[in-house]
Parts: sequence; structure tokens; C-alpha cells
Amino acid sequence: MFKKTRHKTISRIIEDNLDYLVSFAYYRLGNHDEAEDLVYDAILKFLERDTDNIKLESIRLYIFRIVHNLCLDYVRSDHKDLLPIENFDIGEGVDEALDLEDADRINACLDALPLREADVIRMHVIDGLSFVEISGILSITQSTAKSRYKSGMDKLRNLFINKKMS
Amino acid sequence: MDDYKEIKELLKPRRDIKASEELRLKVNRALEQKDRKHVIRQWVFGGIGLSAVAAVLMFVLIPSGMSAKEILAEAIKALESTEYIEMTVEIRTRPVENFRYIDINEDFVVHNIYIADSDSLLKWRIDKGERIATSNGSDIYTWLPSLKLGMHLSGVDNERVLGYMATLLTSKKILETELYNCTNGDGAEYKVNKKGNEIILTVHAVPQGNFENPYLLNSSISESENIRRYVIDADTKRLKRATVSVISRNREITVLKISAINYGRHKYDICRLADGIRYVETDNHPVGLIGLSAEEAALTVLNAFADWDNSVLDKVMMRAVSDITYREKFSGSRLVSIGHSFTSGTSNSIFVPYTLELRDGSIHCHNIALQETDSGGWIVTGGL
Repeated sequence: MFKKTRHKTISRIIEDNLDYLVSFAYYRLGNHDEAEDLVYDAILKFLERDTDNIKLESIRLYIFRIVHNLCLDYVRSDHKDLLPIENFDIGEGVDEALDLEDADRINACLDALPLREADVIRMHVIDGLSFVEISGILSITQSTAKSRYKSGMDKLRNLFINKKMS
Repeated sequence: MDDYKEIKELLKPRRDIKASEELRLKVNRALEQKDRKHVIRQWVFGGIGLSAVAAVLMFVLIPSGMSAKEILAEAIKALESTEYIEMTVEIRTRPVENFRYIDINEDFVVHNIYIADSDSLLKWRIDKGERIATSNGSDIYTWLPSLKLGMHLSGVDNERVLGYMATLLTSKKILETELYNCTNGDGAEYKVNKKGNEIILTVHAVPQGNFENPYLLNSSISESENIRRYVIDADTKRLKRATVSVISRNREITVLKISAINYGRHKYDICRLADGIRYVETDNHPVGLIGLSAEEAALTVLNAFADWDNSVLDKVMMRAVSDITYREKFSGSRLVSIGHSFTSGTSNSIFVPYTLELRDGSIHCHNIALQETDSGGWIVTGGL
């Protein structure tokens, strides 16, 4: 009975976080279909695992971590950067074009940063994750997460100021 | 932190990305069928955490007249997903040295390796007694228990820390790496044989790097002329044994042997960090000594040992490392001489020979290793 309740809770956690997970993957991959494929695969991987020893309150971050690492694999496997907006076939749909333009805009800002700083900024500002959650996903200390955030944001602020002045 | 209000506004998404109905239905079906044994899925990326060169390899029965390249490249079959591997590897090295280091004159040191390959995360732990390292798939922690000092490295490839041992972390990686070398023609020769129920892959490789100065020759597997032999179970395609030998002065000396591999279920938390260790964050490396040649930088650092001048040493080493690892030995020493800088092997370091008279009057000769930071400053990376 306990197992059944646990499974129900896990199912609810997954369903409640599906939008966040797809958004999380989308802003790293720049393609909605691939983001959904990746999230689906992450959930299947999670379901195959023996997760009885994971606390319910950690399930959400555990799945985020899987998605995060699959995104890293995808980017490292030389697949592609974001599809530039000018190569996008507008016939696919206005909404998708606007989504991609938005992702393109955000990634253009973050591309100037080292990956580990951009990663933390994405998670905090775009994905809305707290430093506690970020430290759980990336397996780093909170102070490291905050330090990377500050370092990256300082760089962005300097870039922004320089742009304004030029 | 709200100094960043403007930047946050700039970065804030203006679109609302949501999961499609189709995805929701698929996920609900998967949740309902959680107990099923076989999951068929479409993997859009062509492999699970594998490089673009080859997703997986399969060895076939060896027909006569086929080259090793043709055989290796001919067929593809997914290896069974292996979650947990426990490996015992003996390597000629010193227990306290870094994981890349080998020495053909040293005895074998036992390395206990634990691997958990799951969820596209490769977690591992390597314990050689006086040096231990572990990774959760993204961050690497390595520490020396005797010094209670460790390092935290993030965004660093396993290969940079482990050298050749990184290829042992998954059997898939071994085959893939050897195929990659084969197809990229790095001068290695390959041979495949079948003996009973075992397939034997032999790779004979030349040393990688520039050895005009032979300082680093044979100090790592990649920087040696070596023969790598792998024994693979023909039925399960799992790695059974492996040895690596170095060819030195026409002698073949075994420097690495896998004496045991066990495939099984995950048993304990292999990413557990040791207590009581001070882990230094390597994100913030020192600024370095700027505007100097390598020899001048070496001179400055080694002279700073006399009074343990932290205003100099903090620029080239992290304080925790210099205080814990070097201060006791080098504080109060006197620089006797330095030599001309040189490079060797594949290392990014520049080496400067030096002689120090230590506080107790003994003489210490070595080659200090320096690297240039992105901003052109010299930092110390070894050789003390």
C-alpha cells in the first residue's frame, strides 16, 4: 500500500513539473521537439531506476539533474548550437518562431560566459531555481553556486555597461 | 544581489514554454506501465553519453583477409547497459602521485575502481591508497588523505585528471576510443584475434608529444611507446582483462594490468567524499606572475621560498596548497641555481630546472612546472 502511495506521489511530482522540465531543456537545446524527447527519455531513465532509497522531496531535483546531464551530453556530442533565427522556416508556426527568437536572445547574452557560470545563471534566473536546488542538481556547494552566479552576472553587467557606452 | 535587476530583466524569458499534450500522454502511459521490463524508446541523439565517432561496437567472428580497421568498423551492436563495475587495476607508479603518472622502475600499486554508469551519468571512484578521486558525472573531487587536502574540479574531462585510466571507466569507451584512434590515424597499429570464447584486441601506439627533451617520456601511457591488450568475452562483449606495456630500450615492461572486473549491482555511494578534508575550489585560480619569462617567473617563485613571501606565492599557487603541501619542506630554503626552460611530451607546462638548498642543508633538484594563464600570468602546476 505504501509503495502504491509513493508511486502516486512520484507520478504527481512528474506531471506537476513537466512544463518546467521542458522549458529547462528548451532553453539549452533550442528545439521544442528535441527538448520533449530529452525530457521523456529522462523520465523513462528515472522510472527504470530503483529509486526507493531517494526521498520524495529529492525526486524533483533528481529528475532535473538527469535532464541537465542529458542536455550537457547533447551539447557536447557536437550536435548543434541553437538554430539561428534567420535559418528558421517561419512556415512551421509563428509561436515556435517567437519561442526560438526568445531562446536565441537569451543564449546570445549567456554565450559570452564560461559554461559553468552560464549554467548557474540559467538555472537561477530563467528556470527560477534557488541556490539550494541548483547546488543539489549540480552537486556543488551553495557557496560555489552563488560564487559562479555573481561572477557571471558581474561579467554580464560589465558587458551591458560597455555596450551602453559604445 | 539586486544589483543585477537590469540584467535579470534582460534575461527573463518572454515566452511560456510548456509540455505538449502529446508528451503528457506519453508520460502518463509510461507512469502507468512503470513495471514493464522492456522499454523501447527513440533516442534522438544516437547514443547514451557517447561521442559522435561510434555509438557502440561489436566484434564478429574474424573472417580471414579482413583488416582490423574493417572488422572494427564493420558491425554495430549495443552492449548491454551495465550499471555497476568494480575493477582492480595494478599500475607501476607511486601511491601519492597523480593518476596519469607511471614509472617503469616502480612496483605495482593497486587501484580500486568503482564505476556506476546510469542515467547518462558516469560516476566513478578510484582509490590508490594515498590518493583518491571521485566524480558524480560533472564534478571531480580528488584528495590526499595524509595531507587532508583535496581539490574540487568542475567542467574538467576525466581524461585530464586520469589520463589513460579514463578509458577504463566504461568498456564502451575503450572500444570507442581505440576505434577513434584507428580511424584518425594517430600512428597506432591494431590487431584483432579470436581465441576460444575470447576476442583479443592489441594496439601498438607510439608516444604522443614532442620529446626533443625526453623529460616526460614514459611518464604516462600516452607519452610512451606502448602496447595495449584487451581481452573481451565473445558472448557478452564485456571486457575481461587488459594490460598495458611500455616499450623501453627494446624491452616490454608491463605497467598496467586489470586483475579483476566484476559486473554487478550498485552497492554503495561511490561519490562519498572523505570527512576532514579541506577541498580547494579550483574555479578561482591565481592570477599568475605577469610580464616575465618562464625563467624569471621560476626565479621569483623559488626566491620567495626563503621568507615564504605570500605576496608572491599567492599569485602562483592557491594558499591552501602552498601552506599545506610545500611550506614545511621549502620555507627557509635558498635558491642555488636555475637552468633553461624546456617543454616535453604533451604537457602544456614549461619546465625550469632548479636546485634548492633546503633549511636542513640538503639539496633538492627538480624541474618546476609552470603554465601560462589566459591573461599571460605564470602559475605553478608542479615540479616541487
